[in-house]
This record gives sequence, C-alpha cells and structure tokens, in this order.
Amino acid sequence: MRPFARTWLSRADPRVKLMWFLSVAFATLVPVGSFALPIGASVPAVAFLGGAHREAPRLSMVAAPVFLLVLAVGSVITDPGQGLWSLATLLTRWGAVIYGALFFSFATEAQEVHFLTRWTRLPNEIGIALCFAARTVPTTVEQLSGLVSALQLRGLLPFSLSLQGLRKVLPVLPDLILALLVSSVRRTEQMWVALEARGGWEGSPTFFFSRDLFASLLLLSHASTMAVIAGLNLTAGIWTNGRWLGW
Amino acid sequence: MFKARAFSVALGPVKALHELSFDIDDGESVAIVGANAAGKSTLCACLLGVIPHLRPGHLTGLLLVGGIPTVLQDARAIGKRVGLILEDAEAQFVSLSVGEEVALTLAAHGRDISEKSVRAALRLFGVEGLFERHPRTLSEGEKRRVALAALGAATPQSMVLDDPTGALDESGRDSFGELVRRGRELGLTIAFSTHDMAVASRCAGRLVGLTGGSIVVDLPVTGSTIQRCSNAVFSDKLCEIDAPPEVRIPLRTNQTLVEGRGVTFAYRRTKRQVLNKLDIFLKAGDVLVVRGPNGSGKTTLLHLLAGLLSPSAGTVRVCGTPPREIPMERRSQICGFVFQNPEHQILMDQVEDELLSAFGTTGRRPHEYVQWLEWLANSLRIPHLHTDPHSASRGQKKVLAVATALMPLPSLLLLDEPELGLDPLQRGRVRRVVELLRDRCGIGVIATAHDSSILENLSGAQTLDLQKTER
Repeated sequence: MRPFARTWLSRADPRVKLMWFLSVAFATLVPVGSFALPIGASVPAVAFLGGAHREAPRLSMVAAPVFLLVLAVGSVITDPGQGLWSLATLLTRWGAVIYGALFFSFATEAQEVHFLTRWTRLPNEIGIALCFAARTVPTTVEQLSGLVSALQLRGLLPFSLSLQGLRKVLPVLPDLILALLVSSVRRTEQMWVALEARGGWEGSPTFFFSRDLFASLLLLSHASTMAVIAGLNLTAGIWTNGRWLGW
Repeated sequence: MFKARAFSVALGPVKALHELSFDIDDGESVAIVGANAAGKSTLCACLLGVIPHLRPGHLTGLLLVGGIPTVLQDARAIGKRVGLILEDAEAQFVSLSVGEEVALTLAAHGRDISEKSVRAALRLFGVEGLFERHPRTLSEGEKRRVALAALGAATPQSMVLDDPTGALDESGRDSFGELVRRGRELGLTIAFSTHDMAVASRCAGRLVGLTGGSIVVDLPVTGSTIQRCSNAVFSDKLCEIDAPPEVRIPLRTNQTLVEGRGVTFAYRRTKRQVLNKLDIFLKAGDVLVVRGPNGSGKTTLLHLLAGLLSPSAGTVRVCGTPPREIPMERRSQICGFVFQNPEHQILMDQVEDELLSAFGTTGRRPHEYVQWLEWLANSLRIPHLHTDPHSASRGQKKVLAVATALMPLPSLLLLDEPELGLDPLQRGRVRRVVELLRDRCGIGVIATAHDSSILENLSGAQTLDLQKTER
C-alpha cells in the first residue's frame, strides 16, 4: 500500500526508530579517536531526514552552512593539529546527535510516542514530556505559519523580509519566539489529551508503522551495527589490557 | 450510559457546572443546548473523563459512565467505549494525514483499518478526496467532516460530540443527521452539544438546556418543547447597543475599498485551483457575504484580500494598493481580519493586551481608545479584560477576535465565518456592531458563510456565491 502523506522511512516501527536514535546518541558519546563512528551515525541520519518530512530539508539547508562555517572558522583559529581535530570531532558528534534527533522528531508522530510510552510502561507524565520532546520542533514549524499570519495582519511583521523590515521585526522577535513556544506547547498538550481521550493505543502494531518491513530492517540493522561498534570500543580495554572505560 | 447526581465542577475559582442531575439511557440521543459559556464543553469534557484526568477541575457529586464513576476510570478507559468530537476539531487531530487520522479512530474502537475501510469511512461524509491531505490544510468544515466520518465508521458504543455541526454546511448537517439516525438504529447512545436549535430538534430525542452551568430544561423533543427550551436557554434579551463613541476617523463614503479583477488562485503544492477569474468590488459602507460549501475557497479569497496569499493570476487592490504593499504601520487600520478559528489569532495571555496588540506599530497611543475599548467590550460582551483569553469558551474567543480586529477601526473588515461558535445572542450583537460601524464610520465588510449569514439581512448587503472545484 502506498504510504499516505509521509515517506516509507517514517513509517518504520517506532520502537526501531527509538532504538536507532538511542544507538546514534550512544555511539557519538563513545571516546573514539576517529570520525568513523559519528560520521557513520550522521550520514544515514542526514539521508533519512530528506525523506522524513517536507520541512526537514529546509532545516538541513540552514544547519549545513552553519556547520561548515563553524568548521572553517575553527580551522583558522585553532592549531592545524590537535585543536582542529578536536573541534571537527566535536562538531561531527553534535551534528550526528542533532540530525538524529531531528529525524526522530519529524518521523515520529504523537501517537507513536504514545505507543512507546505504553510499550515501555512509563507513567503518563513522562509520556507527555516525551511527546513534548519529540514533537516540539515539528509542532513549532506547523504553528509558525499561523502565528506569522496573525502578526502580519496586525502590522507587526512584514509580508516579505527586507533589511528595513528586519529592523522593525527585531523588537518583536522575543515576543514572537515566546508566543510560538507557548502555542507549540499548548498544541502538543492538546495532541496528548486527544490521544488519551480517544482510548490511546495499546494494541498490536498496525499499518501505521509495521507494514514497511524494509524501513524497519534498515534502521534496525543500522542501530545494531552502531551498538556493536560502540560496545566494542567501550570494552576495548578489557580485550587488550583488562581495563574498561579507562579505569 | 451516563448518569449524574448533584454533579458540580469548578475550574479554578469559576463554578462551571452546578448541581447537575440527569440520566442518559442506552440508545438515547440527547442534545445539550445552551448559550456561549453555559458549560456545554465542560460537561462534554467531564463525560469523556478529560476533566479531571487530563485537565484540572474540582468535581463534587456523582458522574457515572457505564455505571462506573468517571473519577475511578481514566480517560483512556472511557475513550475506548465513548467516541468523541472536540469543539475545536483541529485540537483532536494528531496525525500527519487524514487517512491516518481516520484509521486511528477506527483502531481505537477495534475496527478494520485497511485503506479500503478508511476510504469507505471518508465516503460517508463526502471527503474521500482528502485521504492524503495534512489535517492542518483542511477548512474547518472539512476537519469536522473528517472527524465525523471516522466516528461514523467506528460506531463506538456511545458518542459525546461537542458542537459537531459547528462549521458544517447544509449537506454536512444532513450527513450528521443521517449518522445520528443510523446510530439510533444501532442502539448507540449519542450526546451532543449545540446552540443550533434546528439541529437539536432534528437530530435529538431529548433536549437538556444549560444556563450558567445549571440545567434549566430537560424535555423530550416535540413541536412545543423546542421553543420552550430555546426561550429558557437564550432568555437573555439582546441588549440595546449604544452608538459607538466619537473617534477621530472621518466617515468614508464612496471610497473603493476592494477591487479584484480576474482573481485566480491555485495552491502551489497541490496544484488545486480554488478561485478562477473572480471579479470582486467593494465600496466603503458596503457589506458583501461570500457564500459557498465547505472547501469552495471562501477563506482563500479573504486571505488574498488581506495579503496573506498572492493571486496566481489577476490583480487585487485594497484601498488602491496591492494588499502586500500596504505599509506595516497602516495595515491594521486598513484591514481587520477575523480568522475562522480564533485559536489561530489570539496571541496574548490577557484579554486587554490582546485588544491593544491590534494597534501593531501604528504609533497611536492606546489611551485615546479607552472609550472605544469599553464600547466594544460592552457591546460584544467579551471576557473580563484581565483574564486569560485561552481559557475562555470558543464563542468568547470568537467575539474577542472580532473586537481585536475592530480596535484600530479598520476601513475594511474581513470576517471568516463570523457565526461559527456563536450562539444566537452573540450573533445578534456582532451583527448590530457591524451595522453601527458601517452606518457611522463607513466601514466595509466582507464575510463568509456556508448557506446564509446574519449579515445578509443588513440593508444593502450583497452576496457572492462560490462553487466548489474538483480536487
């Protein structure tokens, strides 16, 4: 069956997506002295992002130049040896976690978070917090257009951004950001209330996420590879000289 | 199915429901009727267990759902037996496509969720074509149809529907009537809130009238009881609205406010053309009602006039200028806009701040407008100036949105379904305020409506009918 408004990848089982994200985050924290692990984590994240949500490529387009600029500036202001190496490693790790989180966020719906909460038997309050964490960015993107329209009609924002318009926007920017955050949180809370009041979701996985076996298998294999590499690196000391985590 | 005994609810310091006692038996269809802020939505939220499990509220007395007190079963457990529609249809959508949204409701009630079933459900309300659309891109009426279609196919044991026909056109209300009739045949229990007595009398077997959080009538539907119920719940006489205070704005006469020629618009992403070579003109003091079924492009037209969208072809001028070229500081004085869903335009956390924010960057000092603000507040009965508008009822939010748009006294007022969510009394107030401002200040008004509008009866009001395009 053709997926609805979303792509095949975002339809993978939410449990697999969660494992994938955790493994990416975990892998980037491992003290490995090479790019391999974070790059290994970030490349599929970036690739997947493009297919996860229509807004995601825009975010990638904003994030990528910033990432490159910091890298370029870092290469100028740090020593060409260890300093640049450290900075580049650090940025790559950050990039992997940020892109991984964005992918998880855009590819995971509120009902999938709800399902994960039920599946892991976490309390309702933690479920809401998880929902906020996972849905904040996409919900903010959704709320933005409505909020901007309301402000434009009141003459608080220009219809198209120019240098002159930017000067007028700056004073209202803090209010805009605050209003956006408040409306985003309110919307996420509404989603959770709607899910709970509709009986939630405790049954077996349905076509929402388990039909596309290939997507789930791909993510799962990537997650397990990352986890194995991270595990081997963590325990490398044990195999070589009986030390673990530098202890 | 539902049973209440001396049931009261306090939301913070406000007593929302007071000493309610009623029974809704299995297979019964009951209309909960009342004016804005009478407590209809609060009662629906209590019947669904949303209050107190998901939203705060202090409950006293007894409320049973399926023989068990709601406080002893969580909202999820109730939700598996009771299907719902929230007052704000958008607030209940959690999926990224209409198909998934319908499937979610079907799954919650243990129904088949194959694509075939989902499409069949949507067909019930004539919205099969929306299968892959993002719920946020739908019009209010389409959202309501999708929610009703899902519920109609899921056929839960009982349903609690908060203003289910709020944004529906005539055919949508017919489909709702059919859904209730079929539900009765299947022995489903249906409780729905409304302030439309025609819908209540057509679809319900019993009327429960609320005023100020108390039940004032509880009668079976017959020819005479409908009027009795209407008199009881809408007993507050439409107050005489004083003339607006003098404001230093001259009466605009014969000024062309809107001039649109060959206006065509198609959404870029979906390539769906909603307006085709439309000509539209409006002079100061004119009232134009744009009518059409759900999804016919009424809202799109208003967005074009306000500058939120640009036409694909043709030209639009407001006060002689393309709307997007109107300077920021003059925008709110030239064009006031009331969204269909007031949630989308309420930004501040105090009613007074919300009203004053309408001045934007005009440079006008709001203290010049104290009298004006008081007049609007009294005429439209907006919530108290120092309360949080987000906690108000939907009808109150709507009148607040109207008042906010009118604060800078714009030349042109664009009202997207002004009746939506308003009870007959509030509708009368909005109509009277618009009439006074038109006569005294020469304000031009364009309003949208499905079938008929309260503004159509104003002297000299014109109508423009839009047809729905194929998707």
